[in-house]
Amino acid sequence: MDPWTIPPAEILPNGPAILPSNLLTVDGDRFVLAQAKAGNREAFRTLVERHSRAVFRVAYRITGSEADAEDVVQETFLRAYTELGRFEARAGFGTWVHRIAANCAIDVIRRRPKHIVAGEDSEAEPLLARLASPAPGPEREAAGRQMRARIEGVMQELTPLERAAFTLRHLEQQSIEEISGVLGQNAEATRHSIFRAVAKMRRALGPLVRTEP
Amino acid sequence: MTHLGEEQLIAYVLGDADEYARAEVDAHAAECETCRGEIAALRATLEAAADLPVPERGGDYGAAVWARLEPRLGTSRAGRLGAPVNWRAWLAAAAILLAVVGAFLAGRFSRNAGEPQQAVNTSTAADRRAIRDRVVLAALGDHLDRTERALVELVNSDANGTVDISAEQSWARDLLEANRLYRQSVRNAGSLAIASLLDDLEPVLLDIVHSPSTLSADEFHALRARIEDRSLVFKLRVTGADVRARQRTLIHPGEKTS
Repeated sequence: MDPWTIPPAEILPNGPAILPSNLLTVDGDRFVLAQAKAGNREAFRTLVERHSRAVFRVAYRITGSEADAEDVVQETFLRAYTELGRFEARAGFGTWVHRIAANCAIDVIRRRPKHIVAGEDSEAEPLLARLASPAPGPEREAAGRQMRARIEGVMQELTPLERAAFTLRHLEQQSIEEISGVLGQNAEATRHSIFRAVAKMRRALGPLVRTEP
Repeated sequence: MTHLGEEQLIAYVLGDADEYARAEVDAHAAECETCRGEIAALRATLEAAADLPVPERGGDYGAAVWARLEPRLGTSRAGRLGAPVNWRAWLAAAAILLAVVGAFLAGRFSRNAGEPQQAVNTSTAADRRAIRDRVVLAALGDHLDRTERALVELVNSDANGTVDISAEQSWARDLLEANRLYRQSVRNAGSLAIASLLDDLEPVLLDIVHSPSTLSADEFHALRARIEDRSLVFKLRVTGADVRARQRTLIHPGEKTS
């Protein structure tokens, strides 16, 4: 159905009702999006409120920094607002803002000075503190902390493309085609980015997880 | 024995291997303990990477993002930078607003009780307008009904001891989103009475959303008083009945509104 078409009234009033909850959930983004594109700021606000947490999660996983992720969230919705007129609802609004967020996050990583890694900046302590395992036992806690610190270290060593590709494929479960669209490269290059990222992970973390046969 | 290559292993564990490659790895791993160990280690590595925690953001995070974002949007409209005007979307939204105001104002001011009704379906365009009006009125009427029922349930909760309002917070969150959309639409359309009612509803819904999920008896009584002080349930009932009456006249043109 055309995204701007209101469902036919024949299903009213005895059939399934056209309820606000339907308009706002099942096909909700389309309805709200039509309003937002027409300049209804409350509708855009609804989209922002609905997608903020997911955008933050992607941004944090790619940047590895809470402050950077917050900036990415803001930049993402600012760009989305600016480009809303160009957005065609072939993909969902959520997919579209994820794409913008991934690109903003890549830009953030690229702008970082080479010598800054997450383990050395001002967020290192709270990040490592959060990594502490709630499981009982100081040894297990220490092992968990060591593993997570190592993962964070490896993530920082990945190139922006590798990090984004790995995050979107493994953590966000996106398809190779979707990721290729986000990163603006072909499927083979995307596969290669993911492969390099996982290979680096494997070399750095393998010794910590490998058990003797 | 030649072991599996790294590329094979990674594609297999990530689920990117095709059927043939997958069968090849399965067959090899069945015979090779070393490669089974490598597969297990790679899986453990990826699971550990997936377990890296992401800082929690609460239910009101979206509102905080919006508070920071809104001043940066300025007074411009969405899609302002060089984007072509999407007239179709604009017209669709305008039609919704017109349908709201048309249904109410036409019903209120231009229809005499004794006057024979004009057939709604005199033309295809008129049919489409009527359909749209009915849909919009049904949606708005349902929003008012649901809100009324939800508030009635809340104020009638048993307030002995603590009161768990987590379920009510969930519906209040949904209603809040819908309320903002309808409020702006009806205000733009000039239905100021309904806009004012929806204005009054928003702080109450926000109150419910941002309250602790378990209220003491005193907190609950205070919340109930805020709802009752505004006579919201009564206003919702009257306005909802008005909207339903308008909707009925569009479905059965001969029927009088009360």
